[in-house]
Amino acid sequence: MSRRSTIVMFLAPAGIFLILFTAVPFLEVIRMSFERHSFVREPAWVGLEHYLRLLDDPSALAALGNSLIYLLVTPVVILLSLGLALLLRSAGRSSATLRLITFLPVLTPMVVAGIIWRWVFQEDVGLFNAMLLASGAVSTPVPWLTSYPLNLATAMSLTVWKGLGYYGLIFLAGLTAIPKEVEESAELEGAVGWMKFWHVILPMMRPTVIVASIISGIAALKVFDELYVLSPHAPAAQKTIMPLIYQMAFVDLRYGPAAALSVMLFLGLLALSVLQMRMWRDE
Amino acid sequence: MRRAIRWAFMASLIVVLTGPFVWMVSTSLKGTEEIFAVPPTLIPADPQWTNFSEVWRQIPFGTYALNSLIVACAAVALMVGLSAAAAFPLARMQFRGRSIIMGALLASLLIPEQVLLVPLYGLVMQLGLLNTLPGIVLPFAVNAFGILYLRQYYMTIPRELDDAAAIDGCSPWRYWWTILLPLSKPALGSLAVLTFVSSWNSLLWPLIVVRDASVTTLPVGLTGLSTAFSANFRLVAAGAVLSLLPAILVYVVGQKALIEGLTRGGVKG
Repeated sequence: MSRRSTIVMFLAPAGIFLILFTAVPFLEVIRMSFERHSFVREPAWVGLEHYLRLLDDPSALAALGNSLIYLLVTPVVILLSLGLALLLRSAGRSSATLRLITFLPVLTPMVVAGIIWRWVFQEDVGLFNAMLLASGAVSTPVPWLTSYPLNLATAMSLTVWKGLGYYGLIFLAGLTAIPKEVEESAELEGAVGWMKFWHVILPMMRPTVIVASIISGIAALKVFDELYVLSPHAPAAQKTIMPLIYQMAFVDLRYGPAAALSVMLFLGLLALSVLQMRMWRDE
Repeated sequence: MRRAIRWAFMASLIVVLTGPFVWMVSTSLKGTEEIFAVPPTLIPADPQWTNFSEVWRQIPFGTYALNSLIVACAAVALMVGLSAAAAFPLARMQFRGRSIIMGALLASLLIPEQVLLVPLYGLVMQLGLLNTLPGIVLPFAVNAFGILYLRQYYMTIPRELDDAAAIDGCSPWRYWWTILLPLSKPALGSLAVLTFVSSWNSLLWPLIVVRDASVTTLPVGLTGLSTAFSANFRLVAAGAVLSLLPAILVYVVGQKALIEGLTRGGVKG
């Protein structure tokens, strides 16, 4: 067999899949975003119409706003998991058990976690409301799942809970990579506790923290599972971008607008990804 | 004082992280009335182990689990097989167009699958794969991450091996199969575990492709359940507990590979 055909044989199987299921659909989604689709007629070119309509479509604007709110999970999860990583590092012998505990939510299928959340945050019989009522923190049950924007916050708490172990582990790897001498000399200079964290550890962790923040931000903009499991029938004004795309395309069968919104989501994510790649190169 | 704060933080973290699981297991063992008891009970008064067998009888749990298992195994086989092959020439051979292919792969990392759902649905429909297991697996059978990840690993294997193999008259196929792949076991394992977990957990795409219970995967089935059976939550909880077991098994078996693979994306190493 010639060298050339050997190379082709190795590359072709993966190549065919990537062309058929990534490259072609990518071009297709862009084309669809400029077309009107209906079952009876051939697709018709409508130019920027879908994009312009989205810009003053209340549900699209609401979804954009909700997705921006959802980005708040990023600082929360980053801060908490930094704390978790520091804790894991200092835990010493018990850290294997601790690591399993922190990793359990990461492994849990989002649907399973969502089912637990639905049950715990149930308005009438949920454990969380029962605890709040018993402690006297509230006098009437709180509608965690049914009233906006509380339902968004409940979904965000699920994202944070499930993400903690993942980012904690990334930060733990970053902490372990800090040379011992750096910390020792900082301690000799008298830096302890917060001072050591703020002036020595955090600056050394900067690249990891930034990359983790971008990863978490990208995931937050794409969020779907949490919201679908917790409130599948939320009205359009309470949805974030992905659930709205799902609703447009697969419930309302409005393919053109759904494609246009997908392209806009792609551009937003692209900006974040380019930022991430720049970080990787610079550091 | 600082010790006290640290312990308080750790204790509350453990409660928050494990509490939901404890509650789920507790609920899965309760009777029809006890799940609504006020105040809620943590340890079931009369553990109902039959909840677990009832899940299998009342809902097609076995079918869902089997479908998920088939889908996840097929996803692992395709992802690892196709990536391991494609990564070989990209890591080890010089040929025209290689840098173009590498550029295209890197660029495709920027396209999240969520953006492609609308055209993929049309494509899978045209291929006649809607409402089938291959329709769930094939669109995400391979991605640039898998190929680039294995290519990176191949690059760490000494090049002298190539020359030695060439001198001995070893063909590229035999070299790949008998030398490169065995040496790359850790990376292949990481990719396999990662692919298994993400396929096992995946909701959005199966939700779009699946119509009938006969091809429904666990996440899709459980989501439907939690809506339909909310009055019978002990059964939903029992189903949730059961569907958690494979994930825990994977962790126990592939802990190192999984953590290695998961953190690689975040830390430059």
